[in-house]
Amino acid sequence: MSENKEKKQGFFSQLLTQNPVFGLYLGICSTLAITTTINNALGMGIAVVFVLVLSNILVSCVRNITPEDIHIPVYIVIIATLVTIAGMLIQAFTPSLYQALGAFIDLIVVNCIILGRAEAFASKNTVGASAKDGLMMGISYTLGLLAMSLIRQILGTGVLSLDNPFNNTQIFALRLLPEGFEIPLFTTPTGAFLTFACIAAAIAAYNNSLNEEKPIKKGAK
Amino acid sequence: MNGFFAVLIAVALVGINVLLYRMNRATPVPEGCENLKPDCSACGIRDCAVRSQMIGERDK
Amino acid sequence: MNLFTLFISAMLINNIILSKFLGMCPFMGVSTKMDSAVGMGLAVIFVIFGASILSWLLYYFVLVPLGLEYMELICFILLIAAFVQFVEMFIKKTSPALYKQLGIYLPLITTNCAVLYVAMDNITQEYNLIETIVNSIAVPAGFMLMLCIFATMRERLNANDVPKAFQGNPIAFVVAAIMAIAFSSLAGLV
Repeated sequence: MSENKEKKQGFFSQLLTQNPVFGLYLGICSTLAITTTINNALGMGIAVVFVLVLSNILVSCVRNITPEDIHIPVYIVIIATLVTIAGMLIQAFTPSLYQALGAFIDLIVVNCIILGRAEAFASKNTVGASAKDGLMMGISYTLGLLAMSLIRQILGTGVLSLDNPFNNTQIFALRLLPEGFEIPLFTTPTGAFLTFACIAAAIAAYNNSLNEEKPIKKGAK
Repeated sequence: MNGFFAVLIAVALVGINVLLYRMNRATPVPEGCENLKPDCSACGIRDCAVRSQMIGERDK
Repeated sequence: MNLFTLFISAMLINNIILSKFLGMCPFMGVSTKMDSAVGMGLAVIFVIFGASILSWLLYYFVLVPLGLEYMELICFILLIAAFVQFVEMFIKKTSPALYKQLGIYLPLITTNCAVLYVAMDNITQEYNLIETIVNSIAVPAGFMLMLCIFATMRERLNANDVPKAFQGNPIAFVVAAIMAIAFSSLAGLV
């Protein structure tokens, strides 16, 4: 029972503190810019998962045949090619999403997570492990984006809605705040900074509480 | 034909990159600048490629 | 478009940090001291200026005639990486004093999204060469302005009693939020 609880806590704390968006401050640029609606956050998250998984796989495949001093240009070519492909697919199948995300699709190339994982993990591990690592990092990045966009969309527009980007039909829309009570500030850059600050502070508080708990537990043993 | 030029440009750019990277490494650091420390503490990016590279170079 | 209007709007109204959120990593990481903020700012101005003009020339004189516009992302990012290496080598050889000030910030710039953004923006906005030059100076100038304002604020923040959870980066984001409100009122300038 207690073991199960610890495991559960371990999973949650990992999700919170190891989350690439909040714990490590990776890729803040795109996080702040595109989290105005859940749609954009989901689209961006899926694009990042696609690029991250494939780049990790490819980097892991070529890790033994690239000489040490050209590995950065090679990784950059791999990542830039994948981002170009992702951008073309988004433009072809979901033009509305392409318009909303704009230049931020191209800027996935310089997202610290992707080059960071290629350097730190994929260049040292097997293909399978790298693919799994890319998937995990990508999903937790997407979760971070979703958390930000949920807060911003609900407070900023008062409506929780999701559209189908393939044919621009609404899947559902739920008004959570009565009309006239929404705070448009949260859809502006100011709201992005404030939301991020509050989430980061909440996670710091959670980390602090974990660190305070640990010595007591050890003392009890 | 188009694809040929595309590959040619990419290979040329990678070549320039590698060349400049090697030349940059071969150029000695000026005197008095050997132990410059990155003043970049507030950002918590543990796997930042540049940062790990800098820390690695510093340890050497 | 009037060049002066372009300069003011690129530097202040569409400020790269407060309205586009680009270059946040160095913004949060480096802007704790005034000296390093100035060093980073100068390095970014230099690299963005050089890299975006080179990218513009590459796009209009190589990629467009060959019909390879879809290669722009790959070409630009490689060009930026190569340019940063070249600048670092050049400064090492010519000016040790300058290297002492900028050296550590140069490698950080390759992964700075602001550089790639300016290079791509000059193409998507269809600027001519003169507009490209103005835009590539104005955007990093706005970046450096922000970095310096923020560095002075953080020096003051260190002396304040901030709640434990907000210490460090979270309070910096709150400050950035307030600055974004102040800068949004500049939109009436143009």
